[in-house]
Amino acid sequence: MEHAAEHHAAPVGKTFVLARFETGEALVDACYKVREKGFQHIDTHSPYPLHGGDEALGLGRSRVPRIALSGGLTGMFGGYLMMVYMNSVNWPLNVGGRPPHAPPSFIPITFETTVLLASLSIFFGLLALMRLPQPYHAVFESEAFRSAVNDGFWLSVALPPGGDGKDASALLSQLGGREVSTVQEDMR
Amino acid sequence: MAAAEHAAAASPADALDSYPLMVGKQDNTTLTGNLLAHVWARPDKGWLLAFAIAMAGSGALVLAITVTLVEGIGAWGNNIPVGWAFDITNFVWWIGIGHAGTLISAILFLFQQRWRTAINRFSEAMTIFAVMCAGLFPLLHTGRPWFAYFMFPYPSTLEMWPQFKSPLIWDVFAVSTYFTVSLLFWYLGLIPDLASLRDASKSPIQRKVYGIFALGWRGSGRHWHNYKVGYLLLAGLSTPLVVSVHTIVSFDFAVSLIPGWHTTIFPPYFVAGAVFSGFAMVMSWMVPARHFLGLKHVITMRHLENMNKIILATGMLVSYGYLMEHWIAWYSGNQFEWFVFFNRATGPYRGVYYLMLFCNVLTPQIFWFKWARTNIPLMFIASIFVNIGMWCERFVIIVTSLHRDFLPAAWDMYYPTWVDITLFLGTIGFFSTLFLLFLKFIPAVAVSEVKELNEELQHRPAPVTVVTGA
Amino acid sequence: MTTPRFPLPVLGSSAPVDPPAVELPDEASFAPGRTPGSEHGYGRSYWRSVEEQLHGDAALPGRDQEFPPGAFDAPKGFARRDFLQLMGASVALAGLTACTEKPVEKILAYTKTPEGMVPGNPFHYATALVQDGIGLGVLSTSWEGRPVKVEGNPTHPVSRGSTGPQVQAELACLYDPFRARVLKERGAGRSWRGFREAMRGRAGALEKDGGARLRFLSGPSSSPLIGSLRQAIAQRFPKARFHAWSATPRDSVYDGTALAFGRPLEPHYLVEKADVLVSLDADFLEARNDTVDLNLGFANRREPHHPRGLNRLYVVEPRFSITGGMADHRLKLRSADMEGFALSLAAELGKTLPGLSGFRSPAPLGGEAAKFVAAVGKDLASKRGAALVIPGERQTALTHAVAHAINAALGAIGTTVTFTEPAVLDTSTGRSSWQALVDDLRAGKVDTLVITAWNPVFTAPGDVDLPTLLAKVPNAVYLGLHDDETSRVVNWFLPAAHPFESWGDARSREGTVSIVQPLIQPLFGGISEAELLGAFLADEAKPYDRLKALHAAHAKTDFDSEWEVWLSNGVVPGTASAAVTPSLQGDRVRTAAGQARPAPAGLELDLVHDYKILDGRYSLNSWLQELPDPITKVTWDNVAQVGPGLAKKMGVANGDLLLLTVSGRSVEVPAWVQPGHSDDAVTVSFGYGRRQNTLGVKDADEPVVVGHDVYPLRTAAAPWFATGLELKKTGRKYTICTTQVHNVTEGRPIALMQSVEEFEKHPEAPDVRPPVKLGNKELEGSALPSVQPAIDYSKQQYKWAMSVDMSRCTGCSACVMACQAENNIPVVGKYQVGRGREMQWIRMDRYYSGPAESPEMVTQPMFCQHCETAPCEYVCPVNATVHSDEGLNDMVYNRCIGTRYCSNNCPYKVRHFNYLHWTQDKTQVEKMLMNPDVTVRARGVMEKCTYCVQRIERTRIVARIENRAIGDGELKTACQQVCPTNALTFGSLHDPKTQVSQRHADPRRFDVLHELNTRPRTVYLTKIKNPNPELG
Repeated sequence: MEHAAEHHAAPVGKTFVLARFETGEALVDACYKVREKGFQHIDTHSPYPLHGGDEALGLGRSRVPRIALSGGLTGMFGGYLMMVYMNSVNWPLNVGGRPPHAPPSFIPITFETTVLLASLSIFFGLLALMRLPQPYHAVFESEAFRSAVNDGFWLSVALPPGGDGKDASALLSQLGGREVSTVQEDMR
Repeated sequence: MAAAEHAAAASPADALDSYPLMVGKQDNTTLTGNLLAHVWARPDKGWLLAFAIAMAGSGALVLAITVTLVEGIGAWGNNIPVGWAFDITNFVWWIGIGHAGTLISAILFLFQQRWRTAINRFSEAMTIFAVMCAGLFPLLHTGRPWFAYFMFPYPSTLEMWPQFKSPLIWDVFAVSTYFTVSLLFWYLGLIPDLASLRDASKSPIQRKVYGIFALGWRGSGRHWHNYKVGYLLLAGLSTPLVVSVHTIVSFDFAVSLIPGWHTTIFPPYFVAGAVFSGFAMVMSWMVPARHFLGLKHVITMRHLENMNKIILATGMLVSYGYLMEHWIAWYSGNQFEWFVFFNRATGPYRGVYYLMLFCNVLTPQIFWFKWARTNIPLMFIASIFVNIGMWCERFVIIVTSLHRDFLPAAWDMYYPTWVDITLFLGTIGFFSTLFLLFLKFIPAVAVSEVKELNEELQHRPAPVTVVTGA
Repeated sequence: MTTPRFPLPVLGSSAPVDPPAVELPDEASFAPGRTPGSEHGYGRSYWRSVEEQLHGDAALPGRDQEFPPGAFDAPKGFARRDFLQLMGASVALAGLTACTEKPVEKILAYTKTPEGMVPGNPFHYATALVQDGIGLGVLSTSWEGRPVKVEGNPTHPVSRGSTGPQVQAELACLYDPFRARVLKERGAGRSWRGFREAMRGRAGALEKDGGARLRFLSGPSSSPLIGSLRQAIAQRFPKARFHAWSATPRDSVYDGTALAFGRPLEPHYLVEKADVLVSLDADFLEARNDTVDLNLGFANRREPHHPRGLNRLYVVEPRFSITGGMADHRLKLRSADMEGFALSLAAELGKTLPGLSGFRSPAPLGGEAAKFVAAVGKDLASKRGAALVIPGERQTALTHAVAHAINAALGAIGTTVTFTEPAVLDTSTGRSSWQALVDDLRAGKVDTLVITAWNPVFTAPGDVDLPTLLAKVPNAVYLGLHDDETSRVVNWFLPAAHPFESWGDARSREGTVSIVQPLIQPLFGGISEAELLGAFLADEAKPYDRLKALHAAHAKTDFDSEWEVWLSNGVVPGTASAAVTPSLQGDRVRTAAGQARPAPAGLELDLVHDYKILDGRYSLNSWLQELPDPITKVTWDNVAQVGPGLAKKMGVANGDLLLLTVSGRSVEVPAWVQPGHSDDAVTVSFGYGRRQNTLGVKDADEPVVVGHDVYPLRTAAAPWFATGLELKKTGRKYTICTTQVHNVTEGRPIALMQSVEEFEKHPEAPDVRPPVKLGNKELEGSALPSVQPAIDYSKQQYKWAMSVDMSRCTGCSACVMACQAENNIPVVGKYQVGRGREMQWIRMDRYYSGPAESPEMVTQPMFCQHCETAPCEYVCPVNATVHSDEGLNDMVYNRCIGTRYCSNNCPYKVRHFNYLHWTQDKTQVEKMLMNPDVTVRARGVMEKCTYCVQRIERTRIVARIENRAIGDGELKTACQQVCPTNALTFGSLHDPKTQVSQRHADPRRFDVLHELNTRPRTVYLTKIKNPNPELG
């Protein structure tokens, strides 16, 4: 990595300005204010979802329900058609004098496959939406930030490339943020 | 101790509840501290002893499984006509136990029951471990377990497919779906707490290990935004799922034509029974756990009492099921059907039958009284009784129906062998092993949710009375 | 000739050619450690071996004795010779010699395939099997020289294709790995040649005084060959004596005829001609070699369609026999009172029939018996010429004589009973001939005793200490299949050749001669009785040559060609004994009857031969051991049958060990409370209690001693019953394993029985008539309304179905054995039977009705019903059991994973599960028994009746080659083929003319559990009874 850094310009990592607030309400208020100042790429970090946090961040409706629905429908039709193909089309057998295509007895499995695929799509859909797993993130550069998942309420502002973040830091401390700090993504 | 809890005043929000959901003034810092405390603490003597016993049980399980695989099902007491006995009894029993977990975490979540928060993690873990134990038996009870994969729809060289009219295939799909969904649901709920463990951990190893499982969660508001919806949807899906699973398990019997099995009331009656036994099992574990893990301030008498109420309610449902079964058997005028129920009460297995009635019908009745609902030793004993009773119920349904069915010339008796018994006790040991590990390494209470709940409680008009020494 | 001919083992020449055999089992399989049933550690934890508690160490020597030192590691020379013999045999084709010295040049590969042999296609050879001296013609299905199935010979006048259970199980004896392999002198291995030289020397010495010190003790025999050998020996040794001994002597039959007609005769009962039958303790429906034909005759008259209507059967007996189970009226009576009953019946008839005047009963009969006699007498008298009284072998000569007198007076002689000269060589195989030998032995008059009777040391009456007597004999020779009790006290022991391994002949009850031809090279170098006797003759002729020489007389034209015909047909035509019409010597009978004394009061011990293992000769046959007794359903044991009244009085329950004491000798036997058994008697079957391990079982903890030996209670004078029995409870229990624990139908319409009046009033089977009218062409008779579209079977060429006529079925269980032999059904052992894991595909259900003191019995063979809407199929998760286009309920063994759901959901519980690997410790020899057409099932697989699908397919192939349809009766399942009463029929329902279609259309037809709408293809016909209104 060392000589690589010599030959090429070292890539510039993302930079964030972090500030801790005492309570969730304070964080939400600060969030609104920072957005009013025109900062983009704001995020809150809290041990549990904040009341009004979504609005403060200006997030729209989640896409998870649509993902779940599509998964569920796939499971439903896939499951039923699988059984019809296997027992009625590919190799129909005289089983106890019952008709090869017996809808009533195909219902339970159809239901189970529906639930299974819906759930799987929700779980993995979520991971995809949240870009997880993501073992490293710039915010982890700040040791104090570790309280974010326990008892701290943090606001992070991502700086545009080249921005030094002085104004953001100033704004955050003026809004009552503590431990205002600037972290940069470690590209090594 | 109990006195302190009683001293806690009710908040107007839930005037009917005489006990608070949370004892003492808590904030995020204290909660983080005391809810994670047992993870950092060195295992104490009690835990080690319990773990040793549980491991011994798991060892017995391995032994019994080995004998079964080496010698064949003949090592058990099963015969013709009693093709199923302990094996399927244990299967249904364990599956039933699992159901309470999903019910608490999913259904109570949908109903916005605040008191679920403190105990859902706990019961979800129980679900997963119970389903693992249950899953053993459908596999082991086959004569040739090494061919059990025939039951999965894969393109085999025999060019044969599973036979989807068989309730056993429904079982395969239902149980595997149930296990998968429960696991996902549980893990999704765990992620924030794992992150919390990661960032509260002292040693770098713990930080690394928990860090891996935390997937890099950083409590981002944008994440919470999707996370809440996803969790809600999974809860929504789990609710019909849990009902469907035991319905399908009951189809194993209801779809057959054996008198005593061929009963339309089975699905609801099995689900009620499942919840009944599940809550009893949660109770049996929670009473000691809250004591030894020092969780009395979050798992309060209010939780215990609510659960006793549910045990009472489901117990009544089960009793109604018994009543209807017998009534219909008589009313149907079908001599085979009626004989089975007559035989249950008077036949060679009547002892199990009366034990079942005592445990499942009489025992829960004490919970009509508040003093019983709030008496910890009593509710613990009652919960054990209910577990025994529900096992007996499955035994009665399976064995007494099979051993004397249509043609008297084919009647015979079933007696368990030491392998049968060891297998059953072994699964209890295995279950305990997993559970003790869970209690040691994972917060037994959903920390993040409790903090959220705490937040809500703090912002009530009337703050919870501070009780010290809780 | 019109009778079918079966392939000749002789191909072209009559020169001795070796029959095919198979390769010698590897030595390892003979090592004691590898012997069956010696699998260690299995099930020990949950089997209380009561036997071991009882016998303690005494049991263990049994094991040792079963494998004497050196039994498995035979002397080197022999091992080589056996090897050459069997290898040599394996190349040759079915042949003609029992010669055990194989020329070495026979050892060749299949360089020249035997003419007419197609590998994979079995031959059927005709031969005969002997039971108590009476021969029965059989066909053996041989695969590349391995007999794997025995069936009755359809051309044989007595068999007509049917056999009893023992004949079906005979092959398990042939392939018994514990058969003796070594010819021994005092335990040391010797050669056959050495033995003959020793005997030649001995004979020379004996010849000097005309063989006065030479004795032969043989079993009952009807073999002309043995007869001629005896004559030859008698010529050389005029003073030599031949004694015959059987534990089941028929002396009273011949003494009875001797008393009645002046000379011993063989009675033949034509039961089909009789409208009224009275059995005086005669179990004539027990399917044995001499009664197979009686079964069919009787059953034909149990069908209401028979032009002469139903017959009526009265049975008087102390115990409950299968004949008693078929009776319309049954009277419980001590054997000791049987004479009195016969005499009072004669006296009753004497009132109207002059021929019977002057008969009187020594003691008046009790109330019930008197009523019975009156009614029976009236019934008999009303049916003169069509009435028949049958006395039982266990009864006294006087009872027989009186019965003959009654028959004579009823005009039965010549119409319903005929007489011939006895076919057997010795009319006395019991007391008289036995006593003479014992006296000589006691007096030390015997130098050489040649024993060919089966194991006399075991079967000897309790009042004779045969071992010590034999020990005194300087030169005792014993020929036996097993190294058994007798072989240990004689100084020469010769391993016997199985009838399937040797040349011989035998006569059936009515005299027809069958040639016994070897089907396989002697597996263990056995020697036949003819060879042994030949050793005492000057000429060295082989039995085969003697046989041809002997029967040359029967030839009408060219002997050699006729000889081949006889061999291929299995019968020598024109050899049936001529009927004689003897004149009754009534006065002798009257005088004998006049001396009859009233029977002493008191409890009576009744000894009967065991239904399954007879006198014990089949005690090492695990098939028969596991066959449930048709009445008690007990397996692997004999029991002391106690009447319900006596049991209540003594507080005895099943399994209580009882101490039976008669005149000082006592044995312990577990009690069995038998409904319908006399309360004045206790019945025990002998033949059990041999100190030997049992074979072919899974469980090392099987009892070393099977059952209890009651021979000590016997005396030569009173072999069958004795009064003055003392019964004591020991207070100990004994584990009895049965296949049926519940004996009443709980009022369920399952096994239907109705009287002939009811039947004529409304012929439909009661209660469970199919709602849909019968006779419609699809015969979906049992169809209930259903939302499901019925599967259409009309497109297929065949629609297989079965029917069971319960009116014909006696419960003899021959079908169970036939099924076991045909379908490679494993034996599981006593303990596993007790666990409810027996594997026999046919469960012979037996229900009692009425009071326990005098119950009626109905038997119902229950096997896969091949339901059209099979409940077992739709619950199988892996399609392991599905329906064939022709309506068979198929099991796909290699797809089965063993969830046992199918069995749970089978309302008939006719599926059987391989809970353990039953077949894993089969030895090489036992593997030769397996039917290559049928899969040997693995552990963890479900199995059940397949309608003998392998037979269907074989017949289909034949029919296809000949481009025709399978004809009715051309295809028979194993159970149907063996059934002595034609109770079972199988065929296609598409052709309304087939027997099975007609039975499906029979008004008596009913479907078991039809209300479940399983639409079984196997239907049952109600049992019809013909009670006497006066007694009803």
